[in-house]
Amino acid sequence: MSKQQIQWRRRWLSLGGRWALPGLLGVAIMGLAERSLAHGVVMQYQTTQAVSVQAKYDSGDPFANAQVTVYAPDSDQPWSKGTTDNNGVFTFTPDDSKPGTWQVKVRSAGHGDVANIPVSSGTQQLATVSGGNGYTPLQKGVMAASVIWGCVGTALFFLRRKA
Amino acid sequence: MKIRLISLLGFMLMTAVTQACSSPQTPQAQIPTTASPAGVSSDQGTLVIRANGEDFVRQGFTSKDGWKITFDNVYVTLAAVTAYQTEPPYDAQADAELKVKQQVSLDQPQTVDLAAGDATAEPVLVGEVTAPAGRYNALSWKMPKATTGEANGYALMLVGTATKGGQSLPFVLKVDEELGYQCGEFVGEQRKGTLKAGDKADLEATFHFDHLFGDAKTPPTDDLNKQALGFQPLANLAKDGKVDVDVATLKQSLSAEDFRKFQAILPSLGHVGEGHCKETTLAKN
Repeated sequence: MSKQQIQWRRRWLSLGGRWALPGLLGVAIMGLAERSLAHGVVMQYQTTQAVSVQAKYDSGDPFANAQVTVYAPDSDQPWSKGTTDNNGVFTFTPDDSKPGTWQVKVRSAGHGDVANIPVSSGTQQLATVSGGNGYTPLQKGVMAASVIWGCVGTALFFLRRKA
Repeated sequence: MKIRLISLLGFMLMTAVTQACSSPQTPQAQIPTTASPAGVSSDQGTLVIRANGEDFVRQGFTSKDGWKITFDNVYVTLAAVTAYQTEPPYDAQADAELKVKQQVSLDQPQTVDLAAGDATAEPVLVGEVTAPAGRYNALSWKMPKATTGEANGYALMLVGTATKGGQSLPFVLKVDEELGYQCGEFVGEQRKGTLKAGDKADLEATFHFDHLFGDAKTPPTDDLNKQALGFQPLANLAKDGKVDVDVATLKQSLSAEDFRKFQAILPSLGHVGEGHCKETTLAKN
Protein backbone atom coordinates (compact mmCIF):
# COMPACT_ATOMS: atom_id res chain seq x y z
CA MET A 1 0.00 0.00 0.00
CA SER A 2 1.45 3.25 -0.98
CA LYS A 3 1.69 6.34 1.16
CA GLN A 4 -0.42 8.20 -1.34
CA GLN A 5 -3.35 5.79 -0.88
CA ILE A 6 -3.36 6.41 2.84
CA GLN A 7 -3.56 10.13 2.28
CA TRP A 8 -6.56 9.72 -0.01
CA ARG A 9 -8.34 7.57 2.57
CA ARG A 10 -7.84 10.19 5.25
CA ARG A 11 -9.49 12.74 3.07
CA TRP A 12 -12.48 10.52 2.56
CA LEU A 13 -12.90 10.14 6.33
CA SER A 14 -13.05 13.90 6.75
CA LEU A 15 -16.15 14.09 4.60
CA GLY A 16 -19.57 13.44 5.91
CA GLY A 17 -23.00 14.79 6.65
CA ARG A 18 -24.83 16.29 3.76
CA TRP A 19 -21.76 16.21 1.53
CA ALA A 20 -21.30 12.51 1.99
CA LEU A 21 -22.65 11.51 -1.40
CA PRO A 22 -20.67 13.89 -3.60
CA GLY A 23 -17.67 13.32 -1.40
CA LEU A 24 -18.02 9.58 -1.72
CA LEU A 25 -18.44 9.86 -5.44
CA GLY A 26 -15.37 12.03 -5.74
CA VAL A 27 -13.25 9.79 -3.58
CA ALA A 28 -14.46 6.79 -5.49
CA ILE A 29 -13.30 8.34 -8.74
CA MET A 30 -10.02 9.47 -7.25
CA GLY A 31 -9.49 6.17 -5.55
CA LEU A 32 -10.11 4.34 -8.77
CA ALA A 33 -7.46 6.34 -10.52
CA GLU A 34 -5.05 5.87 -7.68
CA ARG A 35 -5.83 2.20 -7.36
CA SER A 36 -5.09 1.74 -11.01
CA LEU A 37 -1.74 3.36 -10.47
CA ALA A 38 -1.07 1.35 -7.34
CA HIS A 39 -1.82 -1.97 -9.01
CA GLY A 40 0.17 -1.24 -12.12
CA VAL A 41 3.55 -2.81 -12.30
CA VAL A 42 6.12 -0.38 -13.52
CA MET A 43 9.26 -1.84 -14.92
CA GLN A 44 12.11 0.12 -16.28
CA TYR A 45 14.90 -1.23 -18.34
CA GLN A 46 17.96 0.21 -19.89
CA THR A 47 19.63 -1.05 -22.97
CA THR A 48 23.25 -0.10 -22.91
CA GLN A 49 25.70 -0.50 -25.69
CA ALA A 50 29.09 -1.48 -24.35
CA VAL A 51 32.09 -0.78 -26.52
CA SER A 52 34.78 -3.39 -26.67
CA VAL A 53 38.13 -2.33 -28.01
CA GLN A 54 40.80 -4.80 -28.97
CA ALA A 55 44.32 -3.50 -29.48
CA LYS A 56 46.90 -5.50 -31.39
CA TYR A 57 50.36 -5.00 -32.75
CA ASP A 58 50.78 -5.05 -36.49
CA SER A 59 51.97 -8.62 -36.07
CA GLY A 60 48.59 -9.58 -34.66
CA ASP A 61 49.90 -10.09 -31.14
CA PRO A 62 47.58 -8.63 -28.50
CA PHE A 63 48.49 -5.28 -26.97
CA ALA A 64 48.18 -6.76 -23.50
CA ASN A 65 48.15 -4.89 -20.19
CA ALA A 66 48.39 -1.53 -21.92
CA GLN A 67 47.21 1.72 -20.39
CA VAL A 68 43.79 2.78 -21.61
CA THR A 69 42.35 6.27 -21.38
CA VAL A 70 38.80 7.02 -22.49
CA TYR A 71 37.77 10.56 -23.44
CA ALA A 72 34.18 11.72 -23.77
CA PRO A 73 33.42 14.11 -26.63
CA ASP A 74 34.60 17.67 -26.20
CA SER A 75 36.68 17.01 -23.13
CA ASP A 76 40.40 16.72 -22.62
CA GLN A 77 39.90 15.23 -19.20
CA PRO A 78 39.90 11.43 -19.04
CA TRP A 79 36.41 10.00 -18.61
CA SER A 80 37.76 6.61 -17.62
CA LYS A 81 41.07 4.81 -17.27
CA GLY A 82 42.02 1.16 -17.23
CA THR A 83 44.20 -1.48 -18.82
CA THR A 84 43.70 -3.97 -21.57
CA ASP A 85 43.45 -7.63 -20.62
CA ASN A 86 45.76 -10.36 -21.81
CA ASN A 87 43.98 -10.36 -25.14
CA GLY A 88 44.38 -6.63 -25.57
CA VAL A 89 40.69 -6.09 -24.90
CA PHE A 90 39.12 -3.23 -22.96
CA THR A 91 35.39 -2.76 -22.58
CA PHE A 92 33.46 0.27 -21.40
CA THR A 93 29.96 1.66 -21.63
CA PRO A 94 29.85 5.23 -22.90
CA ASP A 95 27.38 7.68 -21.44
CA ASP A 96 25.07 8.27 -24.39
CA SER A 97 23.88 11.51 -22.92
CA LYS A 98 27.17 12.66 -24.40
CA PRO A 99 26.77 11.82 -28.06
CA GLY A 100 29.66 12.40 -30.39
CA THR A 101 33.04 10.88 -30.96
CA TRP A 102 34.44 9.05 -27.97
CA GLN A 103 38.12 8.36 -28.02
CA VAL A 104 40.01 5.43 -26.56
CA LYS A 105 43.76 5.82 -26.27
CA VAL A 106 45.90 2.75 -25.69
CA ARG A 107 49.59 3.07 -24.83
CA SER A 108 52.42 0.90 -23.62
CA ALA A 109 56.19 1.11 -23.80
CA GLY A 110 56.41 3.67 -26.56
CA HIS A 111 53.63 2.19 -28.64
CA GLY A 112 50.18 3.60 -28.87
CA ASP A 113 47.12 4.32 -30.89
CA VAL A 114 43.69 5.87 -30.59
CA ALA A 115 40.29 4.60 -31.65
CA ASN A 116 37.55 7.10 -32.44
CA ILE A 117 34.13 5.69 -31.69
CA PRO A 118 30.94 7.48 -32.75
CA VAL A 119 28.23 7.30 -30.10
CA SER A 120 24.75 8.55 -30.91
CA SER A 121 22.06 9.51 -28.44
CA GLY A 122 19.96 6.58 -29.61
CA THR A 123 22.31 3.86 -28.49
CA GLN A 124 20.93 3.86 -24.96
CA GLN A 125 17.43 4.74 -23.93
CA LEU A 126 15.65 4.54 -20.66
CA ALA A 127 12.39 2.92 -21.61
CA THR A 128 9.44 1.97 -19.48
CA VAL A 129 7.12 -0.97 -19.57
CA SER A 130 3.86 -0.14 -17.82
CA GLY A 131 1.59 -2.79 -16.37
CA GLY A 132 -1.63 -1.37 -17.83
CA ASN A 133 -1.97 1.73 -15.69
CA GLY A 134 -1.46 4.19 -18.48
CA TYR A 135 -4.49 5.62 -20.29
CA THR A 136 -4.93 6.34 -23.92
CA PRO A 137 -6.41 9.70 -24.93
CA LEU A 138 -9.68 7.92 -25.80
CA GLN A 139 -9.85 6.34 -22.36
CA LYS A 140 -9.19 9.68 -20.70
CA GLY A 141 -11.93 11.29 -22.78
CA VAL A 142 -14.49 8.65 -21.80
CA MET A 143 -13.51 9.00 -18.16
CA ALA A 144 -13.87 12.78 -18.26
CA ALA A 145 -17.26 12.52 -19.97
CA SER A 146 -18.39 10.01 -17.35
CA VAL A 147 -17.32 12.28 -14.53
CA ILE A 148 -19.07 15.30 -16.04
CA TRP A 149 -22.20 13.30 -16.67
CA GLY A 150 -22.07 12.06 -13.08
CA CYS A 151 -21.77 15.61 -11.84
CA VAL A 152 -24.70 16.76 -13.92
CA GLY A 153 -26.81 13.85 -12.68
CA THR A 154 -25.86 14.59 -9.09
CA ALA A 155 -26.71 18.25 -9.53
CA LEU A 156 -30.05 17.38 -11.04
CA PHE A 157 -30.68 15.04 -8.13
CA PHE A 158 -30.19 17.82 -5.60
CA LEU A 159 -31.96 20.44 -7.67
CA ARG A 160 -35.05 18.40 -8.37
CA ARG A 161 -38.27 19.93 -7.24
CA LYS A 162 -39.93 18.05 -4.53
CA ALA A 163 -43.33 16.85 -5.46
CA MET B 1 -29.73 26.31 -3.46
CA LYS B 2 -26.65 28.53 -3.51
CA ILE B 3 -24.76 26.24 -1.21
CA ARG B 4 -25.68 23.29 -3.38
CA LEU B 5 -24.33 25.01 -6.46
CA ILE B 6 -21.07 25.90 -4.70
CA SER B 7 -20.84 22.35 -3.52
CA LEU B 8 -21.38 21.07 -7.05
CA LEU B 9 -18.74 23.38 -8.51
CA GLY B 10 -16.30 22.44 -5.78
CA PHE B 11 -16.84 18.78 -6.46
CA MET B 12 -16.28 19.24 -10.20
CA LEU B 13 -13.13 21.22 -9.50
CA MET B 14 -11.84 18.53 -7.16
CA THR B 15 -12.53 15.90 -9.80
CA ALA B 16 -10.67 17.89 -12.43
CA VAL B 17 -7.71 18.42 -10.10
CA THR B 18 -7.64 14.72 -9.33
CA GLN B 19 -7.41 13.83 -12.98
CA ALA B 20 -4.77 16.44 -13.60
CA CYS B 21 -2.69 15.27 -10.69
CA SER B 22 -2.79 11.66 -11.77
CA SER B 23 -1.29 12.42 -15.16
CA PRO B 24 2.30 13.13 -14.08
CA GLN B 25 2.39 9.81 -12.29
CA THR B 26 2.16 8.01 -15.57
CA PRO B 27 5.73 6.92 -16.35
CA GLN B 28 7.22 8.40 -19.46
CA ALA B 29 10.09 7.10 -21.50
CA GLN B 30 13.08 9.33 -20.93
CA ILE B 31 14.60 10.58 -24.12
CA PRO B 32 18.27 11.44 -23.74
CA THR B 33 19.11 14.99 -24.52
CA THR B 34 21.22 15.71 -27.54
CA ALA B 35 24.43 17.53 -26.89
CA SER B 36 25.19 20.43 -29.17
CA PRO B 37 27.85 19.52 -31.72
CA ALA B 38 31.28 20.95 -31.41
CA GLY B 39 31.41 23.96 -33.66
CA VAL B 40 34.24 25.99 -34.97
CA SER B 41 34.42 29.25 -33.15
CA SER B 42 35.25 32.41 -34.99
CA ASP B 43 37.53 33.34 -32.14
CA GLN B 44 41.20 32.57 -32.54
CA GLY B 45 44.13 31.34 -30.59
CA THR B 46 47.71 30.32 -31.31
CA LEU B 47 48.82 26.91 -32.42
CA VAL B 48 52.41 26.10 -31.49
CA ILE B 49 54.03 23.46 -33.66
CA ARG B 50 56.99 21.58 -32.24
CA ALA B 51 59.28 18.84 -33.46
CA ASN B 52 60.49 16.13 -31.09
CA GLY B 53 63.18 13.50 -31.43
CA GLU B 54 62.30 12.27 -27.95
CA ASP B 55 64.80 11.06 -25.36
CA PHE B 56 66.41 8.80 -27.95
CA VAL B 57 67.88 11.91 -29.55
CA ARG B 58 68.34 14.09 -26.46
CA GLN B 59 69.82 11.43 -24.20
CA GLY B 60 71.07 8.77 -26.59
CA PHE B 61 70.26 5.09 -26.54
CA THR B 62 71.70 1.68 -27.28
CA SER B 63 70.87 0.13 -30.61
CA LYS B 64 69.56 -3.39 -30.95
CA ASP B 65 73.07 -4.54 -31.84
CA GLY B 66 74.74 -2.97 -28.82
CA TRP B 67 76.03 0.35 -30.13
CA LYS B 68 75.62 3.23 -27.69
CA ILE B 69 74.46 6.10 -29.85
CA THR B 70 74.54 9.78 -28.99
CA PHE B 71 73.59 12.64 -31.24
CA ASP B 72 75.25 16.02 -31.77
CA ASN B 73 72.73 17.16 -34.36
CA VAL B 74 69.63 15.76 -35.93
CA TYR B 75 68.52 18.12 -38.66
CA VAL B 76 65.12 17.81 -40.19
CA THR B 77 63.49 20.24 -42.56
CA LEU B 78 59.76 20.68 -42.20
CA ALA B 79 57.62 22.42 -44.77
CA ALA B 80 53.90 22.81 -45.44
CA VAL B 81 53.24 22.02 -41.82
CA THR B 82 49.46 21.95 -41.60
CA ALA B 83 47.16 21.38 -38.66
CA TYR B 84 43.63 20.18 -39.30
CA GLN B 85 40.31 19.89 -37.59
CA THR B 86 38.89 16.73 -39.10
CA GLU B 87 35.51 15.06 -38.77
CA PRO B 88 35.42 12.15 -38.54
CA PRO B 89 38.81 12.16 -36.86
CA TYR B 90 41.47 11.22 -39.36
CA ASP B 91 42.95 7.76 -38.93
CA ALA B 92 46.29 7.42 -40.68
CA GLN B 93 46.44 3.67 -40.23
CA ALA B 94 43.02 3.19 -41.78
CA ASP B 95 44.25 5.30 -44.70
CA ALA B 96 40.89 7.03 -44.71
CA GLU B 97 40.16 10.28 -46.46
CA LEU B 98 41.16 13.45 -44.62
CA LYS B 99 37.84 15.27 -44.13
CA VAL B 100 38.82 18.76 -43.15
CA LYS B 101 36.63 21.26 -41.30
CA GLN B 102 39.39 23.74 -40.69
CA GLN B 103 43.09 23.95 -41.42
CA VAL B 104 46.00 26.27 -40.83
CA SER B 105 49.58 26.10 -42.09
CA LEU B 106 52.98 27.48 -41.27
CA ASP B 107 54.21 29.77 -44.02
CA GLN B 108 57.87 28.95 -44.29
CA PRO B 109 59.95 25.76 -44.38
CA GLN B 110 62.05 25.41 -41.28
CA THR B 111 65.15 23.34 -40.60
CA VAL B 112 65.41 22.39 -36.95
CA ASP B 113 67.92 20.45 -34.88
CA LEU B 114 66.11 17.86 -32.81
CA ALA B 115 69.23 17.41 -30.66
CA ALA B 116 69.37 21.07 -29.65
CA GLY B 117 69.62 21.70 -25.94
CA ASP B 118 70.52 19.35 -23.14
CA ALA B 119 69.15 15.95 -22.21
CA THR B 120 66.05 17.50 -20.68
CA ALA B 121 65.36 20.06 -23.40
CA GLU B 122 61.83 20.73 -24.54
CA PRO B 123 60.78 19.71 -28.04
CA VAL B 124 62.05 22.15 -30.64
CA LEU B 125 59.85 24.99 -31.79
CA VAL B 126 59.02 24.86 -35.49
CA GLY B 127 56.61 27.78 -35.63
CA GLU B 128 53.43 29.37 -34.40
CA VAL B 129 50.29 30.20 -36.30
CA THR B 130 47.09 32.04 -35.46
CA ALA B 131 44.19 29.66 -35.84
CA PRO B 132 40.45 29.45 -35.22
CA ALA B 133 39.59 27.80 -31.93
CA GLY B 134 38.72 24.14 -32.11
CA ARG B 135 40.14 20.70 -31.84
CA TYR B 136 43.10 20.08 -34.14
CA ASN B 137 43.25 16.32 -34.47
CA ALA B 138 45.46 15.87 -37.49
CA LEU B 139 48.83 17.15 -38.62
CA SER B 140 50.80 16.83 -41.83
CA TRP B 141 54.18 18.00 -42.96
CA LYS B 142 56.64 17.61 -45.77
CA MET B 143 60.35 17.01 -45.43
CA PRO B 144 62.06 18.58 -48.41
CA LYS B 145 65.79 18.95 -48.78
CA ALA B 146 67.22 21.83 -46.82
CA THR B 147 68.44 24.68 -48.99
CA THR B 148 70.77 26.28 -46.49
CA GLY B 149 72.82 25.45 -43.43
CA GLU B 150 74.62 22.34 -42.26
CA ALA B 151 72.04 20.02 -43.76
CA ASN B 152 71.92 21.77 -47.12
CA GLY B 153 70.76 19.30 -49.75
CA TYR B 154 69.30 16.80 -47.28
CA ALA B 155 65.87 16.29 -45.82
CA LEU B 156 67.33 14.50 -42.80
CA MET B 157 70.82 14.48 -41.40
CA LEU B 158 72.04 12.62 -38.32
CA VAL B 159 75.35 13.56 -36.74
CA GLY B 160 76.65 11.72 -33.70
CA THR B 161 78.89 9.10 -32.21
CA ALA B 162 78.40 5.36 -31.82
CA THR B 163 80.38 3.45 -29.23
CA LYS B 164 80.75 -0.26 -28.67
CA GLY B 165 83.43 -2.36 -26.98
CA GLY B 166 85.87 0.53 -26.70
CA GLN B 167 85.42 1.51 -30.35
CA SER B 168 84.02 4.94 -30.95
CA LEU B 169 82.75 5.88 -34.38
CA PRO B 170 81.68 9.38 -35.29
CA PHE B 171 78.97 9.16 -37.89
CA VAL B 172 77.07 11.31 -40.36
CA LEU B 173 74.03 9.86 -42.07
CA LYS B 174 72.59 12.03 -44.82
CA VAL B 175 69.18 11.34 -46.35
CA ASP B 176 68.19 13.17 -49.48
CA GLU B 177 64.98 11.24 -49.94
CA GLU B 178 62.16 13.75 -49.59
CA LEU B 179 59.46 12.56 -47.24
CA GLY B 180 56.00 13.61 -46.14
CA TYR B 181 53.75 12.51 -43.29
CA GLN B 182 50.04 12.76 -42.72
CA CYS B 183 48.99 11.96 -39.19
CA GLY B 184 45.95 11.86 -36.98
CA GLU B 185 45.55 12.51 -33.29
CA PHE B 186 48.61 13.02 -31.11
CA VAL B 187 49.02 9.97 -28.87
CA GLY B 188 50.86 10.67 -25.65
CA GLU B 189 50.56 11.18 -21.94
CA GLN B 190 48.52 14.32 -22.48
CA ARG B 191 46.12 15.29 -25.20
CA LYS B 192 47.25 17.98 -27.59
CA GLY B 193 45.53 20.17 -30.13
CA THR B 194 42.55 21.62 -28.26
CA LEU B 195 42.75 25.34 -29.00
CA LYS B 196 40.59 27.76 -27.03
CA ALA B 197 39.99 31.31 -28.10
CA GLY B 198 42.72 33.60 -26.85
CA ASP B 199 44.79 30.66 -25.68
CA LYS B 200 47.66 28.50 -26.96
CA ALA B 201 47.72 24.83 -27.86
CA ASP B 202 50.56 22.76 -29.19
CA LEU B 203 50.95 19.99 -31.71
CA GLU B 204 54.00 17.85 -32.25
CA ALA B 205 55.77 16.22 -35.14
CA THR B 206 57.60 13.33 -33.51
CA PHE B 207 60.46 11.29 -34.92
CA HIS B 208 61.25 7.74 -33.80
CA PHE B 209 64.88 6.96 -34.53
CA ASP B 210 64.69 3.72 -32.63
CA HIS B 211 62.89 2.46 -35.72
CA LEU B 212 66.15 2.94 -37.59
CA PHE B 213 68.62 1.56 -35.09
CA GLY B 214 66.47 -0.65 -32.90
CA ASP B 215 66.41 -0.49 -29.13
CA ALA B 216 68.38 -2.75 -26.80
CA LYS B 217 65.71 -2.24 -24.14
CA THR B 218 63.16 -3.89 -26.35
CA PRO B 219 63.19 -7.67 -26.88
CA PRO B 220 64.97 -8.83 -30.06
CA THR B 221 61.75 -10.55 -31.08
CA ASP B 222 59.80 -7.28 -30.98
CA ASP B 223 58.72 -6.06 -34.40
CA LEU B 224 60.58 -2.83 -33.78
CA ASN B 225 63.89 -4.67 -33.58
CA LYS B 226 63.13 -7.20 -36.26
CA GLN B 227 62.45 -4.41 -38.72
CA ALA B 228 65.22 -2.06 -37.60
CA LEU B 229 68.51 -1.83 -39.46
CA GLY B 230 70.66 -1.45 -36.35
CA PHE B 231 73.97 0.38 -36.39
CA GLN B 232 76.35 -2.45 -37.26
CA PRO B 233 75.64 -2.31 -41.03
CA LEU B 234 76.64 1.37 -40.92
CA ALA B 235 79.68 0.67 -38.74
CA ASN B 236 80.82 -1.75 -41.42
CA LEU B 237 81.03 1.19 -43.83
CA ALA B 238 83.42 3.20 -41.67
CA LYS B 239 86.46 4.72 -43.34
CA ASP B 240 89.31 6.29 -41.42
CA GLY B 241 87.46 5.75 -38.16
CA LYS B 242 84.36 7.56 -39.30
CA VAL B 243 81.02 6.73 -40.91
CA ASP B 244 79.94 9.32 -43.46
CA VAL B 245 77.25 8.01 -45.75
CA ASP B 246 74.33 9.17 -47.84
CA VAL B 247 71.54 7.20 -49.45
CA ALA B 248 73.53 6.60 -52.63
CA THR B 249 76.37 5.14 -50.59
CA LEU B 250 74.01 2.94 -48.66
CA LYS B 251 72.43 1.66 -51.84
CA GLN B 252 75.83 0.85 -53.20
CA SER B 253 77.39 -0.59 -50.06
CA LEU B 254 74.71 -2.23 -47.97
CA SER B 255 73.40 -5.67 -48.69
CA ALA B 256 70.20 -5.68 -50.70
CA GLU B 257 68.31 -6.85 -47.64
CA ASP B 258 69.75 -4.14 -45.40
CA PHE B 259 69.09 -1.41 -47.96
CA ARG B 260 65.53 -2.65 -48.33
CA LYS B 261 65.18 -2.42 -44.55
CA PHE B 262 66.58 1.11 -44.58
CA GLN B 263 64.13 2.24 -47.22
CA ALA B 264 61.25 0.60 -45.45
CA ILE B 265 62.12 2.39 -42.21
CA LEU B 266 62.00 5.94 -43.62
CA PRO B 267 58.19 6.07 -43.91
CA SER B 268 57.87 4.98 -40.28
CA LEU B 269 60.11 7.67 -38.76
CA GLY B 270 57.36 10.30 -38.57
CA HIS B 271 54.83 10.09 -35.74
CA VAL B 272 52.56 12.24 -33.63
CA GLY B 273 53.68 11.17 -30.19
CA GLU B 274 53.18 7.43 -30.39
CA GLY B 275 50.56 7.75 -33.09
CA HIS B 276 51.52 6.47 -36.50
CA CYS B 277 51.41 8.46 -39.71
CA LYS B 278 50.93 7.80 -43.36
CA GLU B 279 53.93 8.59 -45.53
CA THR B 280 52.77 10.65 -48.50
CA THR B 281 55.77 11.71 -50.56
CA LEU B 282 57.83 8.58 -51.08
CA ALA B 283 54.63 6.69 -51.70
CA LYS B 284 53.92 8.86 -54.74
CA ASN B 285 57.35 8.29 -56.26
